[in-house]
Amino acid sequence: MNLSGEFTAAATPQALTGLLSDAGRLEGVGGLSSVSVSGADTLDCIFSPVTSLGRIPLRTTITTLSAAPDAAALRVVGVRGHQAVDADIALEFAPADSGTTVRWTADVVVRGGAASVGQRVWSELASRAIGDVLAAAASVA
Amino acid sequence: MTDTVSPDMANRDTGDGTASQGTAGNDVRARVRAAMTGPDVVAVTARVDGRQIEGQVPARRLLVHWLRDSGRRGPKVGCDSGNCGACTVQLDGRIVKSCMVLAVQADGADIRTAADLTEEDGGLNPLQQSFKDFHALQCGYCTSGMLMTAADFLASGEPVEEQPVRRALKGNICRCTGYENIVRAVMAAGGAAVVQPHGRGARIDADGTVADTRSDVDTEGSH
Amino acid sequence: MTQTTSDTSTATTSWTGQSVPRIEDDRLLKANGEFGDDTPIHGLAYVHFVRSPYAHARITSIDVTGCDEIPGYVGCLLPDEAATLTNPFVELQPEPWSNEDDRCLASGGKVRYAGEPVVAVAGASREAARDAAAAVVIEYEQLDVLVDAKAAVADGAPVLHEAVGGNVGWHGAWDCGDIGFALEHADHVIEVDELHFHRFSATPLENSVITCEYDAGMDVFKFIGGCAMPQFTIFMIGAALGHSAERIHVVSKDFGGSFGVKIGMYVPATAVALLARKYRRPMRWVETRTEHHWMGGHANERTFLDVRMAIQNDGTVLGLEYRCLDDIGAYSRYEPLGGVIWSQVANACYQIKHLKVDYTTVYTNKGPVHPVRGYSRMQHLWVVERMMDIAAHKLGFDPVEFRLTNYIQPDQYPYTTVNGCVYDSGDLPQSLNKVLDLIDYDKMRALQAERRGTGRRIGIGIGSTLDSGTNNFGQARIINAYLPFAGNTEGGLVRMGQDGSIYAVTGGVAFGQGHETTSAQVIADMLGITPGEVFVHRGGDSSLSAQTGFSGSYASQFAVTGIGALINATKKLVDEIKTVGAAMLQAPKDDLVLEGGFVKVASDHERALPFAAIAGTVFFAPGALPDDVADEVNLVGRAVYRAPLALPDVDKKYGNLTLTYATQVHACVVEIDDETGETTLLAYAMVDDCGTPINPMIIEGQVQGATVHGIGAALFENFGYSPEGQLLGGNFYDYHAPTAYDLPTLRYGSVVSPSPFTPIGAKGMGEGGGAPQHTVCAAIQDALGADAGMVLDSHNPPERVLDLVNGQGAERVRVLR
Repeated sequence: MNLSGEFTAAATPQALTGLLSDAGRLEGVGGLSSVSVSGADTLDCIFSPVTSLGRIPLRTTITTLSAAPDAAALRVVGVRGHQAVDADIALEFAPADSGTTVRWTADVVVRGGAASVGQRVWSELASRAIGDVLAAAASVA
Repeated sequence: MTDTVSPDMANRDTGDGTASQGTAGNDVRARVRAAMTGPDVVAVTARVDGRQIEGQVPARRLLVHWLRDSGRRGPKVGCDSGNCGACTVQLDGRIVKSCMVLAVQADGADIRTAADLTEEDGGLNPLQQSFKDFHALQCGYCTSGMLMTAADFLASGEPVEEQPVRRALKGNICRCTGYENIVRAVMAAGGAAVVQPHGRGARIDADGTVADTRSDVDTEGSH
Repeated sequence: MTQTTSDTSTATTSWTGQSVPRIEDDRLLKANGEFGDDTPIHGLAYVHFVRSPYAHARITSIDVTGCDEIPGYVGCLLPDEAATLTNPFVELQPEPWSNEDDRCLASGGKVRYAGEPVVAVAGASREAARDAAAAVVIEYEQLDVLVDAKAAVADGAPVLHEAVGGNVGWHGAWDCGDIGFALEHADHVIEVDELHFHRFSATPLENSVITCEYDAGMDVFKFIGGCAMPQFTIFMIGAALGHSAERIHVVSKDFGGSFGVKIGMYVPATAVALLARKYRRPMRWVETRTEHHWMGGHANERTFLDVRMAIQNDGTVLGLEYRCLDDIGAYSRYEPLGGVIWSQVANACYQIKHLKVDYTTVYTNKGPVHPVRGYSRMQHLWVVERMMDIAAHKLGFDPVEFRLTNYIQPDQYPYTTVNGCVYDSGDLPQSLNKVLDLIDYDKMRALQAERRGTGRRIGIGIGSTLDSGTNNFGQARIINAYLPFAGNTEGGLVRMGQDGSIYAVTGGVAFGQGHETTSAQVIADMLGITPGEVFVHRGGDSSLSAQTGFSGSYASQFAVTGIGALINATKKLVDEIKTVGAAMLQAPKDDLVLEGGFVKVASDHERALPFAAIAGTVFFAPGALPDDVADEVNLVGRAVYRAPLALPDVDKKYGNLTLTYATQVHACVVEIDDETGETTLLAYAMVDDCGTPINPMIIEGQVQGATVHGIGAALFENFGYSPEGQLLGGNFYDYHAPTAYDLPTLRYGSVVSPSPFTPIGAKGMGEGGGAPQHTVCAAIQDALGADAGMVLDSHNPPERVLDLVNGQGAERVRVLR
């Protein structure tokens, strides 16, 4: 399922891509916790998106596939019990009056119980979760 | 009568393993708890089948589980998603699927389960007797919920005709009977003339009692 | 029928054959039944499985350290432990296919379907188990996914079971008669490229619930919960655990449906048993609806390829051929028995002389197949019915006459099929005529003509089917010549208690079929009492000496095997009662009769003893009896019923594979909305013939239930998978089980053709042979017409019907001559 969104961040694109190796700053992002850098391009964290059932913590690995001044690509794998979410997220940065306009598209595959049970609702949940966490992250950059 | 639940069960359950306990230590758990409102364990008092029940109930516990944990076998879990109706009970006069209600929401409520349908002497009430007469149950797993829904329909004043009965029962799944005999049993309990079970003229109970239950409509399609 | 009951000492007429209300109903109506999760157990812990979100992946790591933080966490079982503590489950197929390594948790470091259990977690409460399960972190490396049987057998396909060496799980070929000659010389040949029998299941309303207590002192595992085939369960678990069968105790109480699928419960039960032993604590697993849809057992999904049927000008069908791929999902479990079980009904309802079938069992990354109501026969019956229907349409034969011409005729029974099965009895023409009357056939044809061109077209369908019952387990040798099985038996025990009351138990395990009532009816007749005076054991209990190796409720057999065993057991009890009576009444044994709870001298009814006196003497005053009587009598009748079935010829795949063949003919009228593709059932009728009825009301109920299962499958129910291997019908929102509101009034009729081969002429029934799938497909085809879309799939939701209205499938059907 392809999802997309857009928001404006106060930070510059460089500051935004720099976040991907800055566990300390990301720790302050709402919805992220236990952030650690586990490899050159890899972050581990607990990502707890808001759902109608409350925040659901996912053991999450974020891999930076590419990062350039105007674009970045991430692979996000989140697992919890028999649920799994894989997302390939493409980010585009464009200068705006008061910072950077961030456009994102995500190719999301939900697996396990959520795929069967949540198929009517999860695209909306995923869309909100991705948009929220990106915007929250951008606000600390 | 009281039942208590130990506070160590006091975690929110979202129904399918997506509960709130953390995978990464107390900070996550604390934050998740904070993100949710209300205490984890709540005192609940309800009247169930005419008897007062009190309990310290985890906030996430479903009414169906609380009722079952307190010994009520009427409400059953068949789907976890509000589709099948096996958990149907009456809550303050309205039927609800008790898997769609938290126990804490039933605080102060008057609840009636299928165990309370029998006559005072313990015998079958007319609706239950009709289910038996018309072979409206096979495995019996859906039966308690069906009876609750059927009783509600018969009390509603809706016309006791096939389509209204079928519509009333559409929130209750039965995988055994194909519903035909349930529809007939409910209609018969509501005074409508219906087709008798195949091979039945006079009803002969297993204890040897004979009762003529032949209705105005003769057995259709029997040889 | 009349019944005299004014005086209990007066002989009653037969209870057998009467629509006696069910004995089991009162407790169920009063919510006093005891289903799987009702049984109170002290100190119970709960099991939750951590399941794979991936359809095919290598497990790279498992981290359970997070569980320790969960209050109430008891412990867990990991795949490596399961591999150490168990043997692989016994496979029924020969090598190399038997190299499949099937365990209670994911085996060989891999997962092979989404929803496969990887870790079993125990907690002191439901919540603790779930929370702990959610804290388990498993990392996976994804592998390519197979969700299509044709792709699974293509070159270069990813392999599920490396040790098997490919995705073929079994293969067998039948060539009965000479279909090559028939196709070459027949007046007409119809060819269809591909037909598809879709994936669904019976989805009993109670999911599996398994409780296991391990008694360390006695080294006994006790399982409580729905188990439809206890001896098979003990066989599988015993072999997996290396545990003595007599130290595995299986108890079933009330049981919210099986329809075959719960035969597969031994897999999760083994994990529950390991946890119970490891933590010395009783464990219960309560399956969720989604878990059940993932792994509770799917019906065999079958793709039929290169199907050809040979037909003469006069409408005689000579035979057909096809090859098929049977998609069993990720593990074979009860398979590949489906590979031979279809051939019980090789001829379907017709006098065909030639049949060639090439059958391949195929693994894919889907939930495993278990036997499901109509198991493996309905798929074959469906393809024959579709081909008959397509042939009638394409060649312009009247649909009713075409069936009547080809039906096996009443005077041809016992009828031997192309592969040596012996159909015992039936009257298909009468059944068809009755069912057409029930739907007002002529009036509906007129309505059809009237509606033509209005956008709401009418179709009338006929489905003829068989419910073969009482398996000859010798057929298992056709899939694997080394399997030791042959014949079939069931056990029964009937005894008199110290006060003269009567108790009975069989190896059959009822889950709604009313066995307590039908058993009591038959026993009551033999003992001269009422059914209410017979206490029939609920469910099953492997410790009660009533079981044989094939005990259980499956394969439409209780009316023959269970009842047969009880009849034999009751005969023994009757003989003992009369032995004691003869001694006490000083009368010849042959002159005694049992009536109204008394043993009486036939020629002098004043000389009588109540059963209580017989029992009281045997139990408490044996010294008052002659020595030879006291030495002989214990008032327990224990017997088996043996089905008279010989071993089939394994090489020729020839022999009688089941004892009875109940028939059902269904007819329905559908209305299709051309704009939406929605199919509405305007009328539905079924005529059943299962031989001599024991309780016609219960038979009617079974037919109605099977009918709605089939209607659901035909129109609503589908276990579809996404390309990633995710199940799309994981709950009752997305897997629509029919409700009362989806259905028309069901019209029922019956024909009685007693079986010449069974104790009282009754036949097993209840599975229904998938008749509604045949019937609804035929009705949709009839609505479409001959030169239009062709119904080539057993599942026809609105989107497919819309495609059919627009001509889908027409190009895949050819009249070669």
